[in-house]
Amino acid sequence: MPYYLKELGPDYGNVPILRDPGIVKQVTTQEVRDGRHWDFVQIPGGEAWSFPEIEGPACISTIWITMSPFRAKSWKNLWATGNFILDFIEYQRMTSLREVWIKIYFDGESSPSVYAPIGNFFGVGFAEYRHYHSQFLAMTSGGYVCTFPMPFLKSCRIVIENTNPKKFLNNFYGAVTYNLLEDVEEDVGYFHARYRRERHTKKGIPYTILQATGQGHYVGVNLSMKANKRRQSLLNLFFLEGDCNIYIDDDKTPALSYTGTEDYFQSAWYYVKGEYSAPTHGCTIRSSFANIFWGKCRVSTYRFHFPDVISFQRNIKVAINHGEFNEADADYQSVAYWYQREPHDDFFDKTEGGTP
Amino acid sequence: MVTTHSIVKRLGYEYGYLPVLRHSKVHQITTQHENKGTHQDFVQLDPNSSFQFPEIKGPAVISNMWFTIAPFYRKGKLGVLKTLWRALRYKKLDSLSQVFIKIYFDNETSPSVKAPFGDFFGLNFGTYQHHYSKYIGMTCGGYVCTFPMPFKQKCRIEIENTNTKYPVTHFYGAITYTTLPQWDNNLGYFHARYRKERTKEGLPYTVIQATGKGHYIGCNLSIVNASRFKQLINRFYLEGDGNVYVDGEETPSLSYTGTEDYFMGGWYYIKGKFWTPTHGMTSKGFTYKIIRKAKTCQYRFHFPDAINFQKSIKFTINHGEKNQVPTINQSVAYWYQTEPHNDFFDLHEEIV
Repeated sequence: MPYYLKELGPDYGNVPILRDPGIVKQVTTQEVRDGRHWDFVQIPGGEAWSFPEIEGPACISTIWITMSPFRAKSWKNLWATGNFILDFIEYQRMTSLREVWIKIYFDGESSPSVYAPIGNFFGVGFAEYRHYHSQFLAMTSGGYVCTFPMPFLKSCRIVIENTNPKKFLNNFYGAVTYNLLEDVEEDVGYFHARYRRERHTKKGIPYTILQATGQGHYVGVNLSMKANKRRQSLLNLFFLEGDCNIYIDDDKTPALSYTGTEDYFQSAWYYVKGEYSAPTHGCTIRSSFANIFWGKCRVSTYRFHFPDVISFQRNIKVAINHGEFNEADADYQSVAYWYQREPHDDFFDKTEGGTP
Repeated sequence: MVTTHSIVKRLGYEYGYLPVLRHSKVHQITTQHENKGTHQDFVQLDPNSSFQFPEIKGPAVISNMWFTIAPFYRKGKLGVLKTLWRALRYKKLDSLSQVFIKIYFDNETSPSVKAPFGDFFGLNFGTYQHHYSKYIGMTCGGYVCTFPMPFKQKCRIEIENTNTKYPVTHFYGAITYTTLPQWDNNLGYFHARYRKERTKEGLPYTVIQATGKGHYIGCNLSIVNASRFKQLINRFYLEGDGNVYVDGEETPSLSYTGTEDYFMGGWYYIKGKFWTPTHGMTSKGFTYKIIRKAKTCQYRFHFPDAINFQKSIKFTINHGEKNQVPTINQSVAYWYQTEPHNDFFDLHEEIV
């Protein structure tokens, strides 16, 4: 390593070093249709639109997208319009964030490596918009940003899928920046992000965030939780007592075990200080204690294992309890982020909520 | 390690290295245990006693520490009310300043890390202030430290309750570490040591005085104006300059223009509390607080511009331009160095 890098550290010292003559490229939603230039695309119900295929070896460095809500049923219908505006302005809720999914296929694989609703993929559950930023994911003033590096050898296809057959997505904007590479070495993992959801968590069985086989490392999760049962007490938040356990390479006892759900997400006391976003962990939604008391009880939180990734050689299982003894009835949805050697297994294709 | 991955060349080490597959295994020790047949997540810290995490075998590197702690448990309705009052009115957790965290690497008898719980995480007055930075933070009640702490043989982490009367009923912790295939002699050991002093007129306050080879990476410092007189501007102590003496030199090689200037603020922290990855100020009284004593608590990390030393380092900070303002200073210095460390902090820990 050159003296200059050694003294200033490889990250900081790297900034002024001139790069190899590489090419930074971009694919966007800009198109020429009917002789006119359009910045956005429209996706009718039940259909999918895909970015131009990217040829490798390359590495995606930034994905930026934004989109509108679904087209309202009728602008003449006052009631529907009112609801629509209230949803959007008051609750910052857009159902399109739940029902439009992002899908990424690397090297012509048949099962996507990335498959999640847009809202969950960019870090916030319940189809809500929250202004926050972290090391890898952000929702900043209406733009959705992902900066996970995604290297691939041959090709990459990014598909945006409107899973609701009835609703029309008016505007979808996106720009994917990638770097051409000389090569993707054999020991470089492929990025994976898969969604799953259990509307009612099962009694006695922990919720599985990630189950994967192969060699790779787990880099983070975003988890959204909602109490299904409405009691008039703060006990609604009891699902946060659930411990998080990580089993690496056929472990019988977990290699990593955390003392509670919010403890795994580096907070404590049921997120006593409210919403925040730090680079590697944060809580983007937490109902106020008054709301929780009356039974409206939601938490959306994320954590990245960075730079201390959790590596596995054969397989990994990340499970989280809902309540200390898996007794709470709650709605759990999560997106796990990890790198691994292809092929990935079919756990997420078959699991509950893994596909729309 | 020199990598030739083309992705690292193109995107930089920190970011580009993320997809590269690893071989080491991650482990964890926690406070979880079986108590009378039931699973318990937390431990109780009895008065005047300490809790020890299981010993970690090296070579390994601690990558993440997370803790949380309850206030002291006082019996009876009055006791509970007192705790609540302090928590709600003053946003204070008394256990933060009286429970100590100690870390011993290898076979050393003087700890490499020793500081009150709150001070170690940048909350010197025991205030319950949400903040986060690159290495330490208190996020929603969780105390996080992500300083990498490599060691060769073993590591012992001890949590000590120094209060003689009250127990802490709930203490939670989880420490993540990665085992290393072999030890590299170029690695320094992490150090964080606490000091408290009622400053003397004409003499600067010493944040760190260390001998060995290493680099100083930051400190957090809190200052309380201890003057007997009411002053119109009671933050004059912030005029004190910071001076860094490397390898026994007589004139400082680094000299800063003021206390808040060293901590990257300005104009006596004119815009109030803030926290960024490398510097911040976590608590401060009202700007025109004449009657009450002025106080500030601030931190700074020299990242990535660590201050290296080959033989010794001394970092002093004045209280007032000419060391004329009587103050109570309290600080935790963070640095890496080769063992053994000197006994400066053992001898001058608390002078009040």
